[in-house]
Amino acid sequence: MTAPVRPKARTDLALVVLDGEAVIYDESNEELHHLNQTATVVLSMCEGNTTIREMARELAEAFQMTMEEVEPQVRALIRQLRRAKLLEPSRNGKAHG
Amino acid sequence: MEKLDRLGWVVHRSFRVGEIDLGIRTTSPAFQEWLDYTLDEYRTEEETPTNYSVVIGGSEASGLSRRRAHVLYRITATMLRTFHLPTVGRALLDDLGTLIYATEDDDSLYAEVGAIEVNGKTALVPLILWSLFNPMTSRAERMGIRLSTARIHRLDLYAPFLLPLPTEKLRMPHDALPRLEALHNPVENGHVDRMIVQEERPVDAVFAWGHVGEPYLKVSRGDIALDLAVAALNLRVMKQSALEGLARFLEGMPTFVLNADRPGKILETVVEAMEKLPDR
Repeated sequence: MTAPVRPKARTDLALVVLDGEAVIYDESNEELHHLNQTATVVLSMCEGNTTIREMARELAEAFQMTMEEVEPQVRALIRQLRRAKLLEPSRNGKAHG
Repeated sequence: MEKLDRLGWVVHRSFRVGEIDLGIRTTSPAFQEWLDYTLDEYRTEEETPTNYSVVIGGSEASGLSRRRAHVLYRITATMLRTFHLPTVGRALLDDLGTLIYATEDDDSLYAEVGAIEVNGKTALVPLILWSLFNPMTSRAERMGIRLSTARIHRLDLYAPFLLPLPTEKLRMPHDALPRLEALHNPVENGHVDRMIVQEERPVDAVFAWGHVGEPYLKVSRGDIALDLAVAALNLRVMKQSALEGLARFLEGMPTFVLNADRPGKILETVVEAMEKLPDR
């Protein structure tokens, strides 16, 4: 059984947060990204030491929602962050998430 | 370009500014003479396409049947329509200067955006809107609006100000601008009808464009920061400091998105929105 993924945001990105929304510049491909408040929170939780389930649990408690509601959304956001190349690849060669 | 080709050009000159070989043509021998004098250091014999076209208008005093504005075209787009000849020359020099520094300087952010002034307040608008407004200088003026001459503006990294373009980085004779002023015929009665940022100028609002619905809506500063970052010519050089500078620039800034509508209607909406802004 493989260890659960613990997503980690890339540390080489230029990033600012305005009113809870992140604006990100990826120098490697000169792309710009704008994350809404929820995606910004999820990205901020990607420190490499929290599983997706743990993130979902934390958010569910904060927003007083159920895991059934929150976890799929968090997983979808992680997939989007991975597709946008904002996360570091995992050790097994795949991007976290 | 074919539409412009019929306008009776006197001469076409080639210049190399920054890394760019470009061509400038005009309908006025006097203006061309000033251009040759001012940009002598940048002359090249390379064959170049026409990047800028300067139509010099005038009035009955200069033998025309009716009063005509001076027009500066960049490729085929109208950059500027004005009855004030020195404004044309100044706008051309400002634009040329950006070829030298706008992508490499790191002391401020250079963004391809337009600016407008309404009753003493200044707003940034997307470049595409500024381009649509450009042929409407007289109408805009009647509405109390002055459009910027520049299509690239210099944003302060520490406060919500526009800074003057460092056109002094364009090497030209010290008397180039006085000579330009001397070309202006007072009988033409042209006045300064466009906004030129000649000193630090506070920005009161930033507009985006393109939603459908209400004439204008508040929009997040994150949305506007993205737009300005996309428009930034030296983002690649500045990276994190560019984004941090934008965050400071937009601190407390009223930010709106304008409805997709006819340019004249959008102008009215901009006036309405800016009149409702609190005084600085």
